[in-house]
Amino acid sequence: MTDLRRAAPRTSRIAVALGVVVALFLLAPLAVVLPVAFSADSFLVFPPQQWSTRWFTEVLADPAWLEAIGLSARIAAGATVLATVAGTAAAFALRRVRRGRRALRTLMLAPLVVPQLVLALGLYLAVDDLGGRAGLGTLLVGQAVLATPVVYLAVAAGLAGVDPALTRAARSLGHTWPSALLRVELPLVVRSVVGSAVLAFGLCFDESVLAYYLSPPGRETLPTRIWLDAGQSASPAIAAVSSLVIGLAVVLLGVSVLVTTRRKRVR
Amino acid sequence: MHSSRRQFLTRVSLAAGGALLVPSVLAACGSDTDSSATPSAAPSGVDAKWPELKSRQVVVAGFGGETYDVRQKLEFDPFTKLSGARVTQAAWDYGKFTEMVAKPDPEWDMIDFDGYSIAALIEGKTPPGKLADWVRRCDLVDAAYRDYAAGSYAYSVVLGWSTKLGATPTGWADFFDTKKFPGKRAFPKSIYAGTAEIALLADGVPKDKIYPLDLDRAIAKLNTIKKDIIFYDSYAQGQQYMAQGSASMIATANSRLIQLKDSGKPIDWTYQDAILYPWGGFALTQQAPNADAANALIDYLSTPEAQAAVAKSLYLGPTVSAALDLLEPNVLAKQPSAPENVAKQLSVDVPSLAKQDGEYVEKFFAWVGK
Amino acid sequence: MGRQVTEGGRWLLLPPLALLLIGLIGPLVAVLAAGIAAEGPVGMVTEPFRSELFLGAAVRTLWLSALVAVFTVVIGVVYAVALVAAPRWLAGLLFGVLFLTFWVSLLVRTFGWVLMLQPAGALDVLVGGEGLGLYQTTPGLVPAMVHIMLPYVVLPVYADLRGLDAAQLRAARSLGGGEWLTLRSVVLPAIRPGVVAGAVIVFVLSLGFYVTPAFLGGPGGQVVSIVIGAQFGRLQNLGGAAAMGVLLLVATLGLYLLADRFLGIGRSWSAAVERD
Repeated sequence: MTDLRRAAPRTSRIAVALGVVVALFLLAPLAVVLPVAFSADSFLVFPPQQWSTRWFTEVLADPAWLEAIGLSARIAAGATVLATVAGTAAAFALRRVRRGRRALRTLMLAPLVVPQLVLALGLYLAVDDLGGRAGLGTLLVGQAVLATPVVYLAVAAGLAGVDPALTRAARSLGHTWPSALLRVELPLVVRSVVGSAVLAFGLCFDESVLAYYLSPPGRETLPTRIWLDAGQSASPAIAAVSSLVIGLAVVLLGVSVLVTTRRKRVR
Repeated sequence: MHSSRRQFLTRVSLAAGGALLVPSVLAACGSDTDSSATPSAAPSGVDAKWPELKSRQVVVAGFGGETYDVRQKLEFDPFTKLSGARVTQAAWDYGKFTEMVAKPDPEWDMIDFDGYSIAALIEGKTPPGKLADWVRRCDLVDAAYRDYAAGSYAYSVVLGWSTKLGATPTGWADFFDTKKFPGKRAFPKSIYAGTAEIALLADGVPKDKIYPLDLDRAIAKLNTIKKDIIFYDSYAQGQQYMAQGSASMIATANSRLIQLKDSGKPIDWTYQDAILYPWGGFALTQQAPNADAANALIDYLSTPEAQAAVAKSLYLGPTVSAALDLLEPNVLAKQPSAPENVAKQLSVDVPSLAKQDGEYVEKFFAWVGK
Repeated sequence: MGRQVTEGGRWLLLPPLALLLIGLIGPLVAVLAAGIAAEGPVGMVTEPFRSELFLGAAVRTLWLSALVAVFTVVIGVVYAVALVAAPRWLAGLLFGVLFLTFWVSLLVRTFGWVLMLQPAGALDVLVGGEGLGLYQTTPGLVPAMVHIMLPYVVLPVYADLRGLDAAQLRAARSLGGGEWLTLRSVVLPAIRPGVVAGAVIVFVLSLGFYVTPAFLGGPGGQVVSIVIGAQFGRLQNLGGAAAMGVLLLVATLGLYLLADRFLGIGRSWSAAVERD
């Protein structure tokens, strides 16, 4: 924003310079992991003395890692569906209730601040009290709860820009309220719903604390496997997995940048 | 995954007790063609006494890392081929096991346990599950515990150091001398085996007076280097510390240091004054969900062939004397329980440790937590 | 805004309330129940404080969280200003870096910090010298946690900066008081909601944070969530874990509710998301 730059040029320059330093700080841990992934050593040492891609081949060929990825994807997908439905419905509901709106909003945002460990403990105890043993189903529900605020915030924000007059018009033309919602309001916020669902998926895929405590042995999600490997293993395999994760993030970032800039140009 | 030709060769060489082609799974050279340990075929006839196995998996709580990767290939995979039961590894946790050992529907079938830990459980009236009658017993295990401990190994907690130190440490006293030997000391965070013994030896207590342990004296000694200790979460992380140079000395299992040294890392280690654990066991939970397959796995792990294979690849000593005959002289010499090594070490007093176990656990974790 | 649309509100509330009841309220009640069962309703609150371990952890967690919040706010504000003041291409890059780190798995980032901070680790290799002695210490947790919490401050503050009134800026400039006047009278007040919201969120999240202390913290001197985790996992002392959990929960939720009521945090977030 040039206004700020003009109004406070010295501060802006200092801030930008410091900002670059901070950006380097943000990149540092990632920059450390990447070279180690290409190490030929069987032990994890920085910096690597010899280079090889053997760990990537080993990881990609290892059924255990692939299984973990698949499991993470399936649970994250299920959790995302639940979170999207719940969060979207809540956002729509917020427009419609007359009282308790504030309480509802506070409740919907609460999962963001509840300590994840306490939630993990609670899920474990709750299932135990009901006579079962906490497992992947419990994990799915827990992750859905954690992801719901994300969807809710995005859809609520999107709905803020939707004129209630449209719904009134639809109703006066004979639509039932579900029909008005589905045909008139929902299409206007599809971008928020889809965008936040993608974000929710990413969140659930990466969720580590609940997964660590609730994954049964032998059926671990990817973050849990990374966690166990980081503590239990001395080989660069985990650096290879980490690099793949970083690579995925770069790709996702690139895609979203392309999508948003494309749209701007079209307009 | 393993070619049948390799399996055949292995069978032949195992039977002959001759030189096993154990390629360096532990070496750094990234040989992709043979990056696995020699795949063992199941010794013939091992399942002769097994009943019809109904379980499809066995959950073993172990230490993970490279040692267990080797075990997976050497023992667990052949076992799975033979029995149809998949071996699933869980993360080792002492407290978790002692909690679940006597409860119904436990999460694990068995855990890789020290001999004295098993003795402590029996002493405390919550013994591990008793081995089925048809499971092989290990003759090097103390007679009183043979019905509860089998399939496991001997190991030593040894002093390892970085050769970059220049001077060579001669014993545990040097481990506590951070002036003469600068650098961090790597210590296990949740595996307490050997800790008090090491401290007492360093403090000058003679070997025959170590037991029963004076835990408070040990803790006082440990506190003298507390700020120079970095803790490792697992044996493998300890190895990583030494490989990276984060610590200049470490107290850890002999097998892990042998792996490090074999892969060319600048470290060395010694059996001198090491703490020897002459036998252990894969302790069962009392109501293990896959009891039949779990017993079969322990039986498998107690065969002389399996014991010898582990001894060769990992230097975890056999608890079955027949396995010693299958080892070559130079491999035998490096075993923790080889006679000339035993003489240098402090062999733990199992009954005494069993009695003090509760106190040991409590004081150790209290010390770590400070 | 005209007559609100009210039909169907109750039906729409069903899915979210059901999910939260089963997945959030239920578990939290279970924790409360376990705490009461183990120590009794009064004991549940007082027992954990009797434990030296918990007490130490509680104090430690409080000042660590405060430290993290302060650092994150300072660095976050600088970064947000940079985002706004930098030329287009650089701002894009800075944004990219922020989102990249946000999208990379938390575990991977923490693992990278372990490699950096361990003695003779990457930091020591690159910078030379004996190392900062941060590994397995509580202050050593600060850089890694700031790293993770940064977006929570940068985004709201950035939203506030974007909303800066150009006219006000011009006016301040024309008064001739120099940059400091402009900053003090226009910029700082404008970013106050973002800073407050960010600081509270970072503080509350830090109280309950688990992953980073698990990897980088020393076993002696741990934070509350790790102590709870040890009771839960290793020691199987579920009652004790529950009692401590309740206290942690009360602290975090309590702060959140207070902040929401008096500082309007929820609104601030919604605003930040909207501007995005």
